[in-house]
Amino acid sequence: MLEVEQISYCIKGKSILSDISFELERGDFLAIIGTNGAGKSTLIKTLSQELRPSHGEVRWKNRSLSSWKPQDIALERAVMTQHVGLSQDFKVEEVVLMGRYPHFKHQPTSEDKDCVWRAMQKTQVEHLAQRNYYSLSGGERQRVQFARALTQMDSPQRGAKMLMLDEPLNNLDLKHQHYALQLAQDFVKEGNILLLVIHDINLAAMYADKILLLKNGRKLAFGDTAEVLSEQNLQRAYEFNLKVTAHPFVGCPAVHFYPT
Amino acid sequence: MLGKPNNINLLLLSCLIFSLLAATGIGAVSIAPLEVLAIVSKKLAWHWGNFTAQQEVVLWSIRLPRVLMSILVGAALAICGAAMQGLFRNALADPSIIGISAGAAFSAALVIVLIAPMLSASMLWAGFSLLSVATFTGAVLSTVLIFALAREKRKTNVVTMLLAGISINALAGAATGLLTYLADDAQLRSLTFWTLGSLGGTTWKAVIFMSVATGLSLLILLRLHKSFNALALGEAEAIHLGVSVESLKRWVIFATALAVGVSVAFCGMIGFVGLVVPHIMRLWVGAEHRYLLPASALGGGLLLCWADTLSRTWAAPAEIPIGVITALVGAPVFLFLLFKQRRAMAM
Repeated sequence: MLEVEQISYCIKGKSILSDISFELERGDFLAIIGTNGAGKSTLIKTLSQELRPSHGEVRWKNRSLSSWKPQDIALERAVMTQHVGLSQDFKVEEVVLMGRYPHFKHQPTSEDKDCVWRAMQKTQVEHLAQRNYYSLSGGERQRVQFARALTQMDSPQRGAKMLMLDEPLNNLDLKHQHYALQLAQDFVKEGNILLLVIHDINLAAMYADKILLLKNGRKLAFGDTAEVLSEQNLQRAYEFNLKVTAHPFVGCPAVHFYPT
Repeated sequence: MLGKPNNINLLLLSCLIFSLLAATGIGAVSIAPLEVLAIVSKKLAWHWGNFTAQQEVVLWSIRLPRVLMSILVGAALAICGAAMQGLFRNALADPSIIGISAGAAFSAALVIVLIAPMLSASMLWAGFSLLSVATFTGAVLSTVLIFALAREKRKTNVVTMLLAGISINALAGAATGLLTYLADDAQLRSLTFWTLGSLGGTTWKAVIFMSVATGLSLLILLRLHKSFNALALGEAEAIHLGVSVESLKRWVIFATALAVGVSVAFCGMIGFVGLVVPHIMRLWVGAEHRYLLPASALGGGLLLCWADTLSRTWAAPAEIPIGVITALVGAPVFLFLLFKQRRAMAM
């Protein structure tokens, strides 16, 4: 479904990403992990066409991404970037409604409004609908942006869709971090694809079924969660003391960093 | 949901229609609103009501074109201001940022100080004064120049456009300053009047041109409401929402250069409207451009309609430059709203 073929990205002769390839199918939940500067966000930016790769190609549904019209790809791909600033103070429901823009021309239909309401309920911001965005806390803003991305992908008739989240858990309390990842999981279960950039390896281990481990812009490992999250791989990527055990309640890998 | 801003726009529209009737009646020869309607009907070959021949002449050849012009110019300046603030994602933007006023001021100074003395004073070009033609050309040329400077790799860099705008403004300002230095007393006076704006001597022909320019820019900008909203999230985010940001930039620059260029050509520089009216409207109807853009147009029309009425009646028969009035009336209102908003946020 999503084929990434030998993607490289250089800027001013410096290579940020080199030779990244992987494939995702319907129902794949991919977590992209790695240290600061490993190229996680750059990868998301090339996949969301914010940056043009210096080499390589990305295909979605067997068509090169660059051949998709922006209006069409917006119906099948939503992106939540790391720092979403709002230059003017909109109401929360107006911000979430922006996610429906690819779906209507000038006037939102009642279906669009239902979608907005559904997404706000999912991320638990419906009580903030009439509030101004600037009056929200950081975590509340994050949940509003997440609702916007979810409502953009709320169109069952389009088939598989992909959602790209670049560190969506910033500012969220632990409970809401799990809520957000559960919503991401629900989205994947509907036959969609999700790409998640995340720092917390344990959350990635708990929710993602595929992991891409990056180091210095290169692919260190890609595959099933349990396979990639080996002590050897993680030590190479993070160069830190760590142990991998099984999570006592869920059974997935649990990674423990510890000081010397 | 979202019903209230629509009501505000309806209220503004009714105020504007009322103002059109009232403002055309105010002046040395007073005309009641009903008489205004009767005279206009007569022009459409429908006779009713009583009015004098003097009233008819004053209304039809002086006052009606002038009041219509004020509404058209105000609407154009304000909606273009709102569009600039949306495009640059900056509340301090106004049409002058893309060099319109600087280019216009420079060419106006050029015409007044250097060219006009060499030609006969009453020279017309296709029925328009040399000053009008030159200022429009100057406005459009400097906008095109700034837009071209900001192009890189088939994209327009908004930050470069902002910086190019600042330097072109400074350059044109220096040239205008030099010409001002060279000007004699009479030239200086007409230059000052032009810089402060005036709607005196508006003809029907000018009204027709202005209504085409304002109409086109309204048609273009109102349809872009979704794109402006999405752009508030950021350029990349807007693209992810399927907005073609490059075509948005082109349309906004085109609409603004056209509407503000024509208004500058006929009425000189009228400051403040493009900056402040969108702000006032944003405090009132919110940031959603579906409501903000029409509200700005209506509010701009309303402000300029009454500013011009004041300008021609306050010290009649003399005229106070309209730019003085817009600043004098607009600034305190703006400050009041700003402090009211701050108090509301503190609570």
